[in-house]
Formats: sequence, C-alpha cells, structure tokens
Amino acid sequence: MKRNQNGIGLIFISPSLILVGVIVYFGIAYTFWGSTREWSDIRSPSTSIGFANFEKMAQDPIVYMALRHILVFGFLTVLIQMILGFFAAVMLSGDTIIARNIHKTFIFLPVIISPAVTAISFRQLMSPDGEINSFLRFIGLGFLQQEWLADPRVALFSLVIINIWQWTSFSFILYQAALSQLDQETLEAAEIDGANYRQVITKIIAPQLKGTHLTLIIMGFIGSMKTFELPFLVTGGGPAGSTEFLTTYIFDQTVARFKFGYGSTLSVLLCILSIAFTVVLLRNSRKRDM
Amino acid sequence: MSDQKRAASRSRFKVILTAILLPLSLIVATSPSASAEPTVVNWWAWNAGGPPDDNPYMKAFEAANPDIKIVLRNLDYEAYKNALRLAVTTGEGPDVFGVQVGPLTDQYASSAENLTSYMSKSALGATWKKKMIGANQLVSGGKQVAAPWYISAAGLLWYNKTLFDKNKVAVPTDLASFKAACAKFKAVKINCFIHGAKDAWVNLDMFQAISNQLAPGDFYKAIKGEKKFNTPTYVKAFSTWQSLFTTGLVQKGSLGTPQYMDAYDSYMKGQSAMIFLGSWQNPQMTKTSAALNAKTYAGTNAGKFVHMAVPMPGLVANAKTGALFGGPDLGWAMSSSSKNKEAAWKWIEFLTIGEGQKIMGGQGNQPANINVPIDTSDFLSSSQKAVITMQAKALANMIGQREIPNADVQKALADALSAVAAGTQSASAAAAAVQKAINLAYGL
Repeated sequence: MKRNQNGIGLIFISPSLILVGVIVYFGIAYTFWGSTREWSDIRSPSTSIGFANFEKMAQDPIVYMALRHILVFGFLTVLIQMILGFFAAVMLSGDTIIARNIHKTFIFLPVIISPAVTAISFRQLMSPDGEINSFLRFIGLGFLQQEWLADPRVALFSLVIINIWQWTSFSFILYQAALSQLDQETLEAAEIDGANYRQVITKIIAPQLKGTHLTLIIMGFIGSMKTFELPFLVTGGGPAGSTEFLTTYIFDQTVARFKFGYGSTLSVLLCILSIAFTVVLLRNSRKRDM
Repeated sequence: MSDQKRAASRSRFKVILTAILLPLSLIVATSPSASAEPTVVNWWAWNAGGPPDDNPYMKAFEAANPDIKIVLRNLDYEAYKNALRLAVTTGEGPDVFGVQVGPLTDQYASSAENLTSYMSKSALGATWKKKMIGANQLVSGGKQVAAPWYISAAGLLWYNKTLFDKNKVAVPTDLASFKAACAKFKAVKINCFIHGAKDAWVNLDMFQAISNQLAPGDFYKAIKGEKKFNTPTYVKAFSTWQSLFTTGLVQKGSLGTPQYMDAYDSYMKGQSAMIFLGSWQNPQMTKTSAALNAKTYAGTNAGKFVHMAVPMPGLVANAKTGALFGGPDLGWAMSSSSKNKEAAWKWIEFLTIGEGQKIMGGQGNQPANINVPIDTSDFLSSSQKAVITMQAKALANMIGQREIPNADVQKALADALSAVAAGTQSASAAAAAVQKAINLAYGL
C-alpha cells in the first residue's frame, strides 16, 4: 500500500522534477563542462583544456577586484537594509504613528520599480549637475558634493545607496510579517517587568526574529553575488573597474567577447560561492540552535 | 454490417472525399505556380538604414527584383549578437547578416560564405579590392567574410558652428586655442567639450587620435606586439589623455557619462559646443536630419545649428594632425547554410556595389564603393561641404583600423584609460599594463 502511494506521489511530482532537472541541474552541469573547454567560438566547444581556465581565473586580478566589491557591497547593503527595515517595521507595528498604511505603501514602493527605471533615474539624480548635488548646495552642504558615479572612490558606495533605497522595503516586509507572528504576551510580560523600549527591542524582539535575520543575510549576500542590473545599467562596471562585479565580468567575457569557456568558469565560481556561503551560514545557525 | 450497408458507407466516403478534394484542386489550379513565388532572403541587422516597413534599400531592391523578397529582422546591437549566435548555432539563421570589423567578423567567419569569388564576378571585376574601402578589414583566416557597406572613420571634432559664430569663438586647431575656446564658452556658461568617458570605445578613439599625433601609425603596430607599447610615446599619450580631465577641458563627471546618448544629447540640444565623434555624423549635416532632430529634441536648439567638423586639434607639441582611422562600419555576410545563395548575393551586391551605395551616399554616409560620392545637395549649409572635402583625403589614406584586433588587449587599454582618467593609475603604469596584455595575447 505504502509502495503504491509512493509511486503515485512520484508520478505527481515528476513534471516538476523533470523541469528542475533539465532546466536547473542540466544547466549547471553544462556550465561546469563548458568551463573545461577552450570555447571562444560561436560553434560547439571542441577542445578540452582541463582546469586551465581555473588556473587563469586564479591569476586574474579582475576576479579578486570583483570579489572585493561583492564583499563590500554585500556587507553594507545587507547590514543597513536590515537595520532600516527592522526599525521601520517596529515603528509601524505599534499605534504611535498616524497614517501607518500610507507610510507602509511609500516604504514598499521602491521594491516594485524595475531596476532599469531605478538605474536611469539615479543616473540623472547622481550626475554632477544632478538633483542630489543641487540639494546639497541648497541646504548649505555643498562641500559634500561628489561625482557620485564618475569617481572610482565613490561609485561603489553610490551603488550601495541605490540598492538600499530599492531593497530596504524587502527587509521591512519580512520583518513586518515576522513581527505579526510574535507572542504578544511575552511583550506585555516584559513591559510589566519594567523593560524599557530599547530593552524590549534588543532583548525580546530582535532575538525572536533570528530566522528572519538569517533569511535576509542569506538572500542579501546571494543577491549581492548575483547583482547585475544595477552596476551594468548605472556604471557599466566603471569607472576604472571600481564597480566591476562577477556578473558584469561574466557578461563582458561571455556576451561581449565570446569567451564562453572562461565565462563558464567564472559562473562556476559564482555558483560555488553561493552554495558554500548558504551551507556555512545554515550550519552555523543550526549549531547555535542546538 | 450487411453488404448493402457497407456499400452505402463506401459511397458516402467517396462523396465526402470528392467534396474535399474538388475545392482543393480548384485552389491549386487557380493559385500562382510555385515557381512564381518570390524567393525570400532573410536579412538580419542592427543597422539596416531604415525600419522594415519603410526601408529605402529594400524598396529599391524589391522594385528592381520582384522575384526576391527581403524580410528584415532589425534588432538593437546587444540583442542582435545574442539572436544571431543562437540562430547560427541552431542552423535557423538568416541568409544575409551584418558583422562589424574585429571579433564579430572572426567569430562568424566559420558560418559565412567566402565572398571573394562573388566579388570578382561582380561589376567591380577582379580588382574589386582596390575599389572597396576597407574590404581587407572584413577578412578572417583568408576568407572574405563580408562586403563593406559604408565607411566610418574616427578622429574628428564636431562643433556647433552657430554657437561658435554667435560667441565669436575661433575653432581650435591646437591645445592653446582649445583652452581659449573653452574659456570663452565657460564665460557664457556653455559647456565647451562634452565627452562620455563611461564608454570605452570613445576613449579608445581619443587615445588613438592622441597617439597618431605623437607618432602617426605607430599605434597599430604596437597594439599587435610588433613594436613596444611601454615606451615614452605611449606614456606621453596617456599623460596627455589624463590632462584633458585634470585641466578641465573635459566636463566634470565625464567618467559617469555615456557618449551615447547622454553626451551626444547634450551636444545635439546645443548645450555643449564640441564633441569627439567620427564621419558617421555626416548625415547629421543634412536638412532631413536637422528636421528630425528638431522633432526628437523638441524645445531645444537641436536642428537649428550648423553641424561642422575639423580634425582633432593637436593636443601635444608638434602634433601631426589630420589623420583619420577606421574602416567599414559594418559589412554584409552571406550565411554558408543559406538555401538562397543566389538571391542573397544579389542583395549583398545591391547593398555594397550597386544602387544601394547611391542611396547610402544620398544619406550623407561615405559609401564603401569608391566610385560613389557623398551627395551634399541636402546639406543645411554650403559651408558643410568643406567637411566632406577635408574627410575625402583622410578617408582615402586612413592611418589604421579603428577596432583593436585582440579583445583582451582592447579591454586592458580601455581599463587603463579609465584608470588614468580617474587618477587611480599613472601614465607609466598604464603603458606597462597594456604591454603586459599585449605580451600575453601574442605570446611575447
């Protein structure tokens, strides 16, 4: 009977299994295979070169530069988005702020705007004679004016700002959902015991949202590794490679230069890093729970 | 079933069959014969000289060749490269497709028919190569991958003559007059020279122009490893390039500005007085383009000014100016798997040798066929004819090809230019970095 049920179950999930197997796993396997080929022609990759592409990658300074950018970008965006999202969610979960729904709508709006639209808007806003510099001059902070997207020392941080503007609402939504699930009795008990607002947030609420923190960290860092539209559309990886990410480099090698073999190798690195990061973080989290 | 019923059933079947076949046979009999159907040539491009429903080349060709129908698929450049790659690898590709000089020609060489014998049999005859500008640049592995359509050369400084005249500014010929012009424009709050340094291609063009002013033609040997690149010449070229940014000749925020469309828009709207582009801007001198620009940039000065060009002013002491570099802007290739090669060749021949070249010249572009001149009758001002005269000599003796042949070397030079402009790399370190890339690319 049980065997029968298993068989029927397998039939039901087989379309999804086939779809995932063909689209996802075959795609990954094909990329791995491509990474071992000398493949710089539009036709089939003929020559196997073993791990030569991986050796080349290990000596490629652009790869290390891109990894540094991912790390800085990921750390800053994840941290700031989580802090802002968390506090916005906490503030809007109580009754102290009027017109909460309007606030929520405004916070949520950026996430539904297409990255292409965001990129074009911020390119204008952040141009040397754009609105951000004009505003800084207007409020007497002209000394803070920057060439936001044209100065290699500033460009990556400009992308961080744009990303935070767009994705803080995602953290906000997750925290909102998690907050609604919190046991209200615990919060009331803490208040009765004399805990102040700061203590309630740091000792009661924040620890209970551990799962949400973890989800945001994993999704945020993987998102940083996969970030493409923003640097591609806003800075194009420049100036002077200061906003080069692995994804923009993969695009450059694969699409612009037809180096499919090396592009596959870079994609393999991206895949391995994403998996490794998720596994390490989940394991550590489980260890702490035990 | 009885025999009677079976017979009745058979007879019903015959009636139905007759009812179906009779009208079908009538349709076949009355429709034109299969041989009268025009041969379809699938044409893929990112620049086809007009939209599919109003393309002057297609209209003229189909009128002269009613037995051939051109079906155009026009895509933007990035989408085109992806679509073409997929189409060629799956064997579902076009009959005729466009390629650019450089990596694209090399990549699609294996999928293209060798056009050498076709060209020899054309109206240009056995000496066709001498009659087509830049045909050699579309050769890969000994194969003539494509035939050049029109020629574009870089090294020109385009300027808004109306703005220069109005503000009594002299057109620059050297660094001193360039700076003087910019000072005057600055005084009247007009941006002097707009440069979109976010785009690598325009930086590469500018660097070639500077290098050619220092040592004409040397760049094309050095970039292929035939001469050294980490020499004082290129260190000087890099420092000259850097000075454009440090002295304020190039506008602030240039490294975040793309040449197309931001910098170009600024110039076309009349907000900037000068821009560094190439001969592909010639059509913008026509009344037709001026009217179109006035519509596109409504509410600005677009279309209301005289668009002129001079060779890039000398930016170094004792500069040798006037040289242009370039070649075919695009060439037309015939797919080796095309089933309609005869018709496909007719179309390529029309575009690159025949009437299509006259249409090209009529639009103000430089036709690849040396026998076809640029038509200046639609130019906005008679003074603009001087631009064509100035270009003619330089185009006939171009100093080198614009495209850097090796993709890795091209990237290394583009990165170095960006870093030097940003001040994060010195001129000598940049020259050394490019030399390293050349050594790796050519096994030196």
